[in-house]
Amino acid sequence: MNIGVFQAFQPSNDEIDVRFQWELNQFRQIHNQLFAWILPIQWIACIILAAIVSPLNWKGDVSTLHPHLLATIFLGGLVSLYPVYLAKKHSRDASTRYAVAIAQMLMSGLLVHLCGGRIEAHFHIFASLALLAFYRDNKLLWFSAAVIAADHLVRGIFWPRSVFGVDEALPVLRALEHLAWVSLEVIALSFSNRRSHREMQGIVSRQIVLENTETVLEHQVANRTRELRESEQKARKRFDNAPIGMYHCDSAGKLLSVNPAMANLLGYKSGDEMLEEVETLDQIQCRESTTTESWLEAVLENRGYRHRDSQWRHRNGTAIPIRESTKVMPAKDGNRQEIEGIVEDLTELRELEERYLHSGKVQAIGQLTTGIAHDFNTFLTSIVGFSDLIIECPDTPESIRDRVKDIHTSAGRATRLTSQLLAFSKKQTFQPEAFQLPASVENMKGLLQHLVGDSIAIQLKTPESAEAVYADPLQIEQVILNLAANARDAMPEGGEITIEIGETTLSEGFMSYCGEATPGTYVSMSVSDTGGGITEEVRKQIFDPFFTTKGTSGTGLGLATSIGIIKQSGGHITLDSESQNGCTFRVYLPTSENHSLKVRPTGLCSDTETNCQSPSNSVRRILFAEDEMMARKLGVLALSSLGYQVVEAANGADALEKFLTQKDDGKFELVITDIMMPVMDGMELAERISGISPDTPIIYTSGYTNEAIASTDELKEGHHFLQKPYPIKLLGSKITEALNLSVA
Amino acid sequence: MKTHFQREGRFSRLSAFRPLFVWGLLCLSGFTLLANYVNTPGPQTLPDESVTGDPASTDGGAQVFMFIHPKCPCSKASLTELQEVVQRASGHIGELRFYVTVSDPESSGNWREEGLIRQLQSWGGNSSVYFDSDGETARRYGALTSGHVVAFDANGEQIFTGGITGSRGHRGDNRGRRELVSALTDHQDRSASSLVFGCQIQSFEEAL
Repeated sequence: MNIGVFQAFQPSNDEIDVRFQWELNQFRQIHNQLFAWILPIQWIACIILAAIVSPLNWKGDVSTLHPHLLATIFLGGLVSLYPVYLAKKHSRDASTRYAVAIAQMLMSGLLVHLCGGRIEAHFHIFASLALLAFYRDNKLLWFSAAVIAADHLVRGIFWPRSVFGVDEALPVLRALEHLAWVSLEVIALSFSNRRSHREMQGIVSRQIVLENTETVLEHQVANRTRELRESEQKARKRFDNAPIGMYHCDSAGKLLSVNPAMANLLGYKSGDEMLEEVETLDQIQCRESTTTESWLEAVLENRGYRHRDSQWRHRNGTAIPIRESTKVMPAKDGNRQEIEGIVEDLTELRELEERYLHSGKVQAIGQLTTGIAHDFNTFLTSIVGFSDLIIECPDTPESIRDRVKDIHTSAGRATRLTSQLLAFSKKQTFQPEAFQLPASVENMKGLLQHLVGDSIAIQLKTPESAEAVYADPLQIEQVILNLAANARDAMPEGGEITIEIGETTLSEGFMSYCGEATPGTYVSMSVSDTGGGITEEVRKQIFDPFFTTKGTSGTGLGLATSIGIIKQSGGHITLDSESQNGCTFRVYLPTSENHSLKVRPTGLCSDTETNCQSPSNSVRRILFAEDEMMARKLGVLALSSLGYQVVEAANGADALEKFLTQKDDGKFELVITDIMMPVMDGMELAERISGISPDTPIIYTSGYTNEAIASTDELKEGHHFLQKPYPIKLLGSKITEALNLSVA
Repeated sequence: MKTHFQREGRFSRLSAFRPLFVWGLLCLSGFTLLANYVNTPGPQTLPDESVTGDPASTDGGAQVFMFIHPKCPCSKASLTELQEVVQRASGHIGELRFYVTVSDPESSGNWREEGLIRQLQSWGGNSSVYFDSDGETARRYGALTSGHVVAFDANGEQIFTGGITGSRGHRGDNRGRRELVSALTDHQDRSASSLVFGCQIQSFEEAL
């Protein structure tokens, strides 16, 4: 506290005066109490004196109490006791002080009288004035002087011997002489009083400053105390309500407090319950982690936070992965050290990490398989195309045709395999439409029964009507077949497969669990078997690509493909299984209400249709862009065999140049382009050509679509897609479709 | 602040004055009564006409008789004053007699042991102490109050009768003492007198 602050608390004169008068009054009240003792003592002393000097009055041999003794007892009592009463009962009143002064002076007068006016007795007057000066009241002193003056004058005139001890010829002058001495003392005492008043005022002023300062300090201390208490309450509240675990322990690891989150993390209902069972950190530490002792030593050496990932033991014995952040802090008593720990449950994080790693692994496999599938499709396009040409060639010997048919068949199987790979990696071209899933499943019942064999019964629980789903129906059929085949393999001894379809609303909680889709109404399809169920170990890997429990007879792509198709459709798949109790796959597919229904074009050739007649092709001129030489060669041969005039290009840029430079030779009525090409890809080529000639139809071909064309929905009007490898008939029908639509 | 540090009630309770005034009045009355008492002389009466001094035993000096009640506390002041008189009238007093009244010799034997009597007996000089049974002598000399002094000149004529203190038990210069000294030293023709302050040697009724 500096001087300036003290000055800020300087009291006003009024404040000092009020306080000074109060202090003076307190002081005077104390002296009232002092005189409440002095007056009776004087009275008793006078009685003793009278009893010694003149106890009895005699008339012959008859004695009575001496009038002096009686006067001392009764008159002295009268003089003394009333002020004593006032001092006890009305000490605050100024009148009490004046009554005391009168009494004290009368006691002096009585003593002088009893002593026969002896000059020594007059000293009592001066002593009385000195005692009365304790009141620090000059008016009182002068009043006292007036009382004794009256006494001296009256008695001096009428009974001079009682006051002067002798018969005085000039009693007034004698009395005035006495009073002069009394006045001298009063003057001296008055000066002393004035000085003491000034000193008291100074003391009062300083006291007020100190009290004001003390008041401010007390206020500040009270505020700080309240803030500290609130802060402690907040800290306690934060501690109790923290969503993560918190604890305090001493330097030896003895737990002092535990918040509810930490108690719940370890399976206890409350912190108190946990502290009843667990005394030290060591008791909840899994042995494989760093020892608590060495950890605490490291924490105590470091002033900041220290972190470690560890494992704690749940009340039920299981290990819980946690991240512990600890810091040394002073204990409340300030002498010891405590350790505050913050504990995060890493269980979910670890699961996410596992899912992330798994996802990365699947993505890597997907990229690998996609690349392989692309190249395979390109090669298969040549194999399938050339085998088609050989088979269709009338000059081909029959024995050669049969062997080429075998090649064609094998190429078809390879095509399906690459199709599965692309489906798993979600790179298959998606051709969605709205369709009734129950109807599709009902239509597949025969096929499914044939697939699973007679030892397994198939039970369908399909509603009469349901919301249409929006997906690629062929791919969904593939999913159903895969799930049915898996169910069949899980029941080698036979059993029952139940396919049930319904509608369900998936909540945000479920979506967050699944991670990718939006909440809403879905059509659900469950495929249940009565087999031996799936173990937890298998369950963790069951959707992984190339994971199979069927030994060499399985590809490990069935479920991986299914999950790829479903996710590409915007749906989900879950698995419920308990060991020995069969399992149920549940597929959730989005309804069509959020999609503009696209009805598959009717009246046009389907992929498998081959009977579409091409218009007269003699005048049709096609620009064919393909970077893979064999595929390009096959395309040229195939298109030529179909009667089209073909201009080939090795990449997009080459094709664009030829489209621009050779248009004078005749209009290109169709452009067929591979999507993935060097220099300029098919998408850019199509964009440029559409800019030049918007009416020119374009057919994209690709072993996979990558991100370029995820769905045929995304294709512009007049643009078409043909998945590699494609049979020549399919190529012809797609060209016909494109040209017919263009004409239309 | 103002509520806590209030000024004292400066005669705020007027009702407090009433008892104060009554008290003061009572005190004043008490002092007045006391003053009246101490200034009220004791009784005295005329001496017998046959009473005179005894010049034969005075060796030409005056005779001074003091009548004392042995238990009268006021008579100590009278003795003090008499000592002053003896000093001032040195050479004029031929004989000093103290008549100590004892009313009943059988029952008041212990009075002879009073400190006042021992003081008188040790006075010395030409003084003597007489025990005045039943105050007979005192009554003859007209002394009814302790401290009464009667003085006779060398011819046996009474020159002073009365007290030599100004009031009861009060020492100091007073008219009685001055009259006695004057009577002893100035050989006046007339007999002086003064009031006597002290205990009664015997009741006034008995004396009469």
